[in-house]
Amino acid sequence: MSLVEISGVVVLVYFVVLNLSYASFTVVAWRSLVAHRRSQDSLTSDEVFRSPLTPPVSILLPAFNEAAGVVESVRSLLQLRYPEFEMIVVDDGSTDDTLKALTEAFNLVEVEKVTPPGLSFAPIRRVLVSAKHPELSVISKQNGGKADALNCGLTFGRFPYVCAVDADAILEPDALLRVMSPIIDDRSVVAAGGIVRIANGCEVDHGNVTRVGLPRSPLPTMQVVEYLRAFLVGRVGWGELRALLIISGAFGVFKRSVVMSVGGYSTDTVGEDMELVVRMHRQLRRSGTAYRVAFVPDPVAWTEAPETLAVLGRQRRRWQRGLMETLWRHRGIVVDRRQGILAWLAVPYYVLFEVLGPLVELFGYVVVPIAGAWGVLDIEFVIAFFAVSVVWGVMLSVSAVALEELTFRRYPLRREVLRLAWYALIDNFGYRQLTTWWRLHGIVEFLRGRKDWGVMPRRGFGSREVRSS
Amino acid sequence: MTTQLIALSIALGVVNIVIAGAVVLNRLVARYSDRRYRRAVEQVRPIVLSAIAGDAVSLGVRSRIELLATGDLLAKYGRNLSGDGRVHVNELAERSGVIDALVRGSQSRRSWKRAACVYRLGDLGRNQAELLIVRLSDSDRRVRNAAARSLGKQRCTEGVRPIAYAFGRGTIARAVGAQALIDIGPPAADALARLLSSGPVLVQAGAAELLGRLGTVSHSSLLAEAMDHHDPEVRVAAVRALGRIGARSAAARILPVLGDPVPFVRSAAATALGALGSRDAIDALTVMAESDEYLPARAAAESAVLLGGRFPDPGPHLREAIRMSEVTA
Repeated sequence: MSLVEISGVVVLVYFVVLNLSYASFTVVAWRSLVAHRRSQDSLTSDEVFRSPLTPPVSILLPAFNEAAGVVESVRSLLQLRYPEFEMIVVDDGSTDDTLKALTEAFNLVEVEKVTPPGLSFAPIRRVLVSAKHPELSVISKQNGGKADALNCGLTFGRFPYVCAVDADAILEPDALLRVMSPIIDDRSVVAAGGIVRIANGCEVDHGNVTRVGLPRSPLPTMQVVEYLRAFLVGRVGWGELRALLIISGAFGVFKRSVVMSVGGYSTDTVGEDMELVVRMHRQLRRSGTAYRVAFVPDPVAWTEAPETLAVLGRQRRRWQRGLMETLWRHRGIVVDRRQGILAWLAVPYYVLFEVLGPLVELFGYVVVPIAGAWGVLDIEFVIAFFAVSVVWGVMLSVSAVALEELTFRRYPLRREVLRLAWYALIDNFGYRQLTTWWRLHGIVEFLRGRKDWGVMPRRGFGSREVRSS
Repeated sequence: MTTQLIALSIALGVVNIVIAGAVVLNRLVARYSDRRYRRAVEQVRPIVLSAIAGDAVSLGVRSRIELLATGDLLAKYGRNLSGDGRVHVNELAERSGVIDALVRGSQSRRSWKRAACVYRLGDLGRNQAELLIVRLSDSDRRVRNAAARSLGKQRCTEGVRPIAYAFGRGTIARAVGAQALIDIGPPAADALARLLSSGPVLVQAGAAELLGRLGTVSHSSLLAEAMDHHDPEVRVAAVRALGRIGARSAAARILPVLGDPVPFVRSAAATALGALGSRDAIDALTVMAESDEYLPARAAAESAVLLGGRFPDPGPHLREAIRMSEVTA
């Protein structure tokens, strides 16, 4: 067997395993989502809302230079339908008017606060509380990064559960109640994540999404399809397997005592959300504790997606770095028998398909033309293989859109569903290759030891603004 | 191999077309069903409203969708009505066959259907205690939660003990079980008091917690005894319950708990003393605010300030509590 033939077999096996995994996740997610939707008729959210035993939650909102949208976000969070919560905004040394905007909007007054024992974080400058909303406090501290800000919020949080929310996220009124439902139902749940959707194209009024719509431009629309695939298929599937490794930093709930006991968020990674969840898994499995990390597909956090290639590229490079940093840091999982499904499935899957995926794809794009030029390749076979891979990719994207349509149906207009289906069809031509390229860059940046976040400009959600370009 | 791959890609292409077609078809069907359902609701609503007003009306022979709409409307109104209106809703639900359909559905092989029917029975019809108590032991947790909720909604006193046990064993969501017992009201308190004296630790803690919501001053001595329990969860629940019941006489019993070895029990005791308005505790709370570890010190400071204490040279926790009370006043 020649080297080219061996490479061909390896790529073929890789392709088959990867796509069968995706297809299996789609089936698992399908079953789970249907069951979830059917249980809506017996949901007891009113009882949970009225019950005195529904645990109170500390909402943590780290903000760095978020003057454009932080007031709307806070306003939306204050309107959450949940019996008891406090909100801690941590201004992480913003150099814009974040603090000023908050102070004016919520009538903040400076108070003296004793710093609780717990995690370490950058020095605090001031603590302010709202005279209008006693449940709202703002901690202004020196810049230390998002993880550092979250650790500060965790330390000051009074309640047994914390909900980490991105400053540019808008939560639906019932989102917290719903994401807390697995925790309320089962005390062994230590973390729960909810679905994150893209707000570009939606109408936002005073911190509420009042009309769901698709963005007009292609780039964020591609991301809508991508998010549907990632959340409705990937996260739901991993959640069902009890091996969910990521709870989005944009919206997730954690048991405070467990997060504190594992040392809080790690400040030396750009993938602090995934790293925390993996560390929690690892330590709880090591100690033999019965626990669960849950994913709830219907609570919705809306977030602003990048609308330019430059910003999107930066985001994807950072995500890839964060993923690799986490997997590298916790590489010991694969040789630890106590880690169960994490050791034999979840971590190997992420390494094989999420880390090495772009390299294999690049290998295909580079080697196939060269081998074709040398005449050692059966061109017909290559074309047929390419056709299968594209049609399979389209099937996965279209399935994600179908899952959305058959379960939640959040996009009210028929033409929007057709547009989603269209983008599901074409995202394999160009967009997928672009993300592969950015992920490759992310791998290079990880190998070079790059640690910074990069700038993520926000436009913010203005009132009555139809967000799209 | 190439031929097989081409065949596979064609097959997958067909699958794609089928999925896309299903999406479009689903949207069309959903639109049609929504329209039919809305129309049915509009047709049935006047009859349901007349029935609620006490008129002798009959639904007559109705289609499946109209029966569904009737069930939904009756459940919606039944959930929010009491007195005669609720009685009339129940009568129409019985007459129209909605209750029979729900009772049948509560025995369905499909768990989601059982859960939905059991849930809805709470809002409609006659007392279904026997059926609901059986469903409290269902193999599916959603059904058990729905059963507890419906027992509460129907104020079935027979359900107190099974709910309390399910609550304690964790076979139903604690929040749902608690709310169900609260909905049943005072009759649940005595059952809870019995559980507090004799149940397993988890049940005892839950019972103490709920007695704080449902109990009266007459339960104070029982809760005071629970403050000596070996398990801190029970102690904390008992202290909180005493604080909530507001039995001033309990303050003297709570005061020694400020010396409990477990910090969160001390915090709960400090908060309870504040809630009870026990000015005799100000000195002890002030000492605690200045000397204890973070959580109990903060709770003690908040209570000391709430009780109107005067602090000539307040420490950091007291200063924080004073300032917070000024801001939030």
